Amino acid sequence: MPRFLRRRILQSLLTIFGVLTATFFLVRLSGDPASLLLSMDATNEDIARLRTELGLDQNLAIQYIKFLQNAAVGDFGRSLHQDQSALELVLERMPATLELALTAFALGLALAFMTCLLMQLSSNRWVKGLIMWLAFIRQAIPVFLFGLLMILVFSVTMRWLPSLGRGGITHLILPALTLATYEIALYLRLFNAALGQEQRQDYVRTAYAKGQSRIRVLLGHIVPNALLPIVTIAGINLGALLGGAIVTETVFSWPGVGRLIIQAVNQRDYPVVIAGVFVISCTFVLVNLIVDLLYTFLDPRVRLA
Amino acid sequence: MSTKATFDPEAQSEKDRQLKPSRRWSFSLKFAALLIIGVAILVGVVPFMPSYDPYTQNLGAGTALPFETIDGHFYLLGSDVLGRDLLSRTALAGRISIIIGLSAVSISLIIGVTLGLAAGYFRGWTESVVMGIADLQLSIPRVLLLIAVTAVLGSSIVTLTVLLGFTSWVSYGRVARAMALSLREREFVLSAITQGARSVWIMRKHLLPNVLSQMIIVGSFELGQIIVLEASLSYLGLGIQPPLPSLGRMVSDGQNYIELNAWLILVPGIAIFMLVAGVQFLSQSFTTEGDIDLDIAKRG
Repeated sequence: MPRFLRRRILQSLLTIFGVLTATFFLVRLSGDPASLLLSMDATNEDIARLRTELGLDQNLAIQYIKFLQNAAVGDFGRSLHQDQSALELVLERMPATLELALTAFALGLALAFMTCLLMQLSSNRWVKGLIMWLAFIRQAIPVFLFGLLMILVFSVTMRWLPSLGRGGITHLILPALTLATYEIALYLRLFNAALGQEQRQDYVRTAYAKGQSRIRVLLGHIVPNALLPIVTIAGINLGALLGGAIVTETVFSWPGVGRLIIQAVNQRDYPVVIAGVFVISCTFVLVNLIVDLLYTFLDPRVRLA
Repeated sequence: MSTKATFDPEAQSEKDRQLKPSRRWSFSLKFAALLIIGVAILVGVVPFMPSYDPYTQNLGAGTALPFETIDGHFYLLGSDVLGRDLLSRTALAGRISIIIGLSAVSISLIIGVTLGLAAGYFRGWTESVVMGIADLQLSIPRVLLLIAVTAVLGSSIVTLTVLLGFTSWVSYGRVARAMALSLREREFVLSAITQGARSVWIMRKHLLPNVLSQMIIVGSFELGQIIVLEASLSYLGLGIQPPLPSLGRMVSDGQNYIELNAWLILVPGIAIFMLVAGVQFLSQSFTTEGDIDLDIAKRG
């Protein structure tokens, strides 16, 4: 295994370890976890029993090691409201979150790419300016607000699409669009930069000199060369998308991990919150790791950095 | 994150200039000014209007439409489900948003500049520790981090502000470190060292003034982000708690009545948009002039 790879994987493991440590001390910081873990109406005997059960009467260092041991095998305790292991509950919701995030990712990429090509082909400066301006406007609307506006227009007023829950493809359209347009301004700026940089290369001039049409040069020469940075940026943003997905899921009652976490927080179901935070963080770290490795694979020069 | 190599920033900003000539930027500045004046009127003038009353409930006057008068009270922008004046609540909530945003930005700016300058100036283990923490923080989505922390620590205005501040220092830290790395090699720093100046003095008198304007640009960008974060948390029910009004919570309350009266969402929604867009377009016009690589700061 090359040194770079080893270092990068070690860094990821360290991050997950850091997340676990932070969660552990956060829950301890907030007071007696036994009273947090039980429902509000628990008696003192209940609390005392749970304290011995969880080993809370032991030394903090021992508790910490036990917590890490359990976490290593995926044991975050049982949910307080559903009789099920917290991790299982979270993993059950994972497909829904991935479905939403990946659809939004692909859609956003396609949308930005098409718009960008349009901007490159259009010689009208006003059209370009207008598109950028609209993208910035979109950026100034938080995800939850944009989602509700979509519901207002397409579900309440037009009655075209369902607004809540998960089902067929019609249920997916609104939340995916909400999430897909989230980073469009950033995408457009970077895509334009990537295409623009290639535009000044010698091979482009040669292609024009041969008498090729603008579309042909753009699609046949520039785009394939500009693809590398575009892929990387897109990959990095896949991680950021997960954060947006948490909020979007709540807006559209999408049964994913994000909504589960929010519900668990409101019910004070801490094992589920911890398991949810753990799973999302792991996904996030994993995505970042894959993107980094992919990048070194696509562009070996990065390894020197 | 040493592998985040993108493209030549010079070519990028050159392309940006081609794309949006200076005339466009003055437009974006004008647009920002318009929005900010609008927000200023909302939070500065509305509370002095005779109809200002964000708390009194009147169940008989619930979900009034704009320009409706019920029981002798004129609702300029309508009322919420409990019959409270929407305009007044939006104005107060806007004030709270701005106060939290500015305070959180100040906190994170102070933390970020201090840690960033120390990391860039001392290098060695200080740098490793600071940047390690920064990378750690960037590897969790900020919303998730805040959800987890507010879930445990609760969310009074002070807690919320401090939490937002403590989770947002990374952008400042990274930019400040990058600048300190080159500043520490300059002659005026060397000259100060030869004259026996202490490190803290050098950082305060020589490095800080040089990074401050860039920090304010990063801050203007972060302000929008923080206002969105706070509104999102409040929307999720984890931010500002009732009876205090908050824009995010008003939107989420309105969501249940979306079929009945869309103004419940639109009024606070437009306020959020004006606030965020105003700040964003302002910082947008800064960034092209200041030519700062915000993409470094932006990650996460």
